[in-house]
Amino acid sequence: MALQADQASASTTSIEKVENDESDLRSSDLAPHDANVEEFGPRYADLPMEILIKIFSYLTSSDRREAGLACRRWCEAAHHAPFLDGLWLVLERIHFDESELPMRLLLHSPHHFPNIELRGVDFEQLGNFFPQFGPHIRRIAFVDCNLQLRTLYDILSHLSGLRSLSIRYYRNLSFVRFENPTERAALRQTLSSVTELSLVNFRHFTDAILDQLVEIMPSLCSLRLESCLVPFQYNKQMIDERKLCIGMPRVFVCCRRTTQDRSLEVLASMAPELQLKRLELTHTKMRHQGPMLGTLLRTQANHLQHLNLSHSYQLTDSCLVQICQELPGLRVLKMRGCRTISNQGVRELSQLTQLEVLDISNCKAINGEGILDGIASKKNDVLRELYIRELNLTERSIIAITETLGELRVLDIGYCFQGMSDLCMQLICRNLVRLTQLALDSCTKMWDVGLTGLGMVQHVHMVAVRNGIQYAQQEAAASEAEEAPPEPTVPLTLPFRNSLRSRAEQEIVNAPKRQRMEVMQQKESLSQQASSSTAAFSGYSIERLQQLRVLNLAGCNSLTDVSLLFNFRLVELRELSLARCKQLTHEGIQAVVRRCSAIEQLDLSECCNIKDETVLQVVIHLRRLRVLSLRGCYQLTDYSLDHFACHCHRLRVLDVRDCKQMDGEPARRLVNLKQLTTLRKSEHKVERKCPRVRRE
Amino acid sequence: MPTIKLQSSDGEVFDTDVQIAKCSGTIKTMLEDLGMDEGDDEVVPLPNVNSAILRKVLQWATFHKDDPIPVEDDDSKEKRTDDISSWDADFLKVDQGTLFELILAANYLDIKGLLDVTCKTVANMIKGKTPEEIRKTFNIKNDFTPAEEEQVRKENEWCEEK
Repeated sequence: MALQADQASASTTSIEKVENDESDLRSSDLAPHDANVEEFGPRYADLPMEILIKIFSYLTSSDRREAGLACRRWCEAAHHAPFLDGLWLVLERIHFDESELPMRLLLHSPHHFPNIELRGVDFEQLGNFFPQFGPHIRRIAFVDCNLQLRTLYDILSHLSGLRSLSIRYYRNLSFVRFENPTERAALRQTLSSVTELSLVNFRHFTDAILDQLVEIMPSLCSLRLESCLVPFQYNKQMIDERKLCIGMPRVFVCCRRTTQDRSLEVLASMAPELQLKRLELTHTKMRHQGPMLGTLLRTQANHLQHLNLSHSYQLTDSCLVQICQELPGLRVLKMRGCRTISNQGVRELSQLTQLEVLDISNCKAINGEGILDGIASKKNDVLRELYIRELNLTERSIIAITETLGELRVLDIGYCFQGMSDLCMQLICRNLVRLTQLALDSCTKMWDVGLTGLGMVQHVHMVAVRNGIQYAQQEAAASEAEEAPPEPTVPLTLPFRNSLRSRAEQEIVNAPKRQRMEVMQQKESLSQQASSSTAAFSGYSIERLQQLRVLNLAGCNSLTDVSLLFNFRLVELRELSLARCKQLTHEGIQAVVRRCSAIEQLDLSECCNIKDETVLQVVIHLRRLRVLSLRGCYQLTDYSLDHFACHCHRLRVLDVRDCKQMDGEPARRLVNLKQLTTLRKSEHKVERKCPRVRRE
Repeated sequence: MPTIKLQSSDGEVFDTDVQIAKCSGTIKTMLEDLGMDEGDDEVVPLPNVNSAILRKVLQWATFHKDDPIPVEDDDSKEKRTDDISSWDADFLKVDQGTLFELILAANYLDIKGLLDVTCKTVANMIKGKTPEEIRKTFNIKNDFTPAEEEQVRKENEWCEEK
């Protein structure tokens, strides 16, 4: 034990030394670097500010931040106010103390922080932060903060520009109120521009609390109550009593069994004063939901744009038909996990011509037919986000989606393992080039050729594409197996389930090796041909999706290094999951991290071939890494921990569960990682480096 | 085909098709304001653009003379950088100095299409790079004091995109 401790301290001193070396390097770097700057070269640093801002507007926020570190003017451009809109200052498990980091540092900042999230923060002393930055704060969120009412008052009284307030898991608010009328009046003045209020998980919520919150926020028009037990009569009363003095809510969100049986009726009776733009009622288990919801929707038909009825187990097809017919202005419709919806209802979705977001994930009764006849039945340039996770889709329906929904930005087809084939992937790469998020987790029938396009001969595609269109247009479902495009390894039409399963299992065991050999051969033959002849690359590779920010390939266990070695260069990629892709090795992962240097979140759980040197490659090349999961990579040892300690100064979350060869208490080796707030080693213990430790 | 004469900063005169010259908002306004008529022998001086760059700009404008008039930027519109046409990409395979001059010229001459595509090219060069690599690529001197740099670096680490 003592020895271990010695080792640990030895490693920390060596780390410190490395750090010192680095800072020495940095300062000594300046001199030769300055010599590198050509006196008469182009002065990009001095570009007019409006041009710099224009250039920066083409960058992701992560690239902007890096570019802002180049010099002062670029830093100024990176802090152009609109660029900060989506950026949150996240302070997690810190003491709010000016003598400690990060407060000590933040107080000297010349910049503003329009959005602030405080997670598990300890507010013993508030100090000067809120007086100094408060007026510029637009949105603030308290998550699991042990906050006294006095503190909350002190904070809120400085937030004169606040638009949105969100409080989660707040133990003390349930029984304390702002008793002093002068204070209430003062708050009412300060918080006059707050329009959004979100309260999550208030176990002992009462009318009186809501009453008071509404009183001090006179402009409130969006109310979100999640997992709060609200006596619903209140809302009726609130509307009746206050409709003259407060703005009517335009957004009403109740999630997780907040509402009682009568709630819909009450809401419906509030029309016409109540004009909802957005309504979210999720996880409801009301017995007579159908008819009541119908009545409510009818009263709101002219206003409603955003409807979320996810996990409403009683939502029927007839209700969906009504939605499609009576709410033509709907932009967002979410019905995740509504098990009673079937193809019958989903067919009608094609009537919603304004729809931008559709979520029908996990509606078990829907299959490919509903997609083909509904949302993918004709060309649609409006739909931006489509979530169809865990549906039993056919290959035909996925092809139809890629053919008709060319403007998609987000596509989630995780666990659609029946239909998601290489051909589908090729068509996604070909047709959906504007995707920013793509989830393909557990699509085990997708091989390397799907991602790389190698070996997918172009004219085969063209046939497939034409067939795809015909499929969508015609209803003819009969024997298409023969017309189907020749598919190297996977049959297009599926055999019966029993045989499929055994066959699939066999494929999983045998095919990757065979396939890898084939593709490697192709790769060799291709590279032997002059690389200039791009025509040799017959298919479409994932590299076409240059706007991709999030890619989930977890559990695509047919993929091998070939996928990653070939054309996997995604410069904007921020989140990548390759979890459970058990065939990946050092070679493939090294290729990815070298080419996709913007990755901030990487999941390599259960990629059991990776070794310490792979980790070294990861940490050297991914300079922006914040979240890393290496769960179950059992070959990793303490060397990996040292690599983190030396290189990962931005790491916030590290998961090394089931890395059995690693030190049992990795935190000791990682003491110099100031940002690390969550470190998982064993199943039940979550180690925090910060003072407040929460058990999970 | 009516032409006008454009004079670069180093004195070279370019006989240019009026329609092409009018790609430039600056020249267009100048012609209108000065009431220059076609066929006049007057020379339009462009003191901020040298001949090498003006030649490039005119080459670009000639190729793009039939493009639709670009619409004003909408902030809510998403910005793509992978939609640079292959002709433009080839056209912009130039050294950093020329690219820089082209940006300034496009800005001065108010040619939105050229400014867009040059800015996108610069953005593409920034993507995925570390600050140090960016400085090298664009010949930028690090003018932060070590304390300032540390401040910005740390602030970045506490900020997250949502």
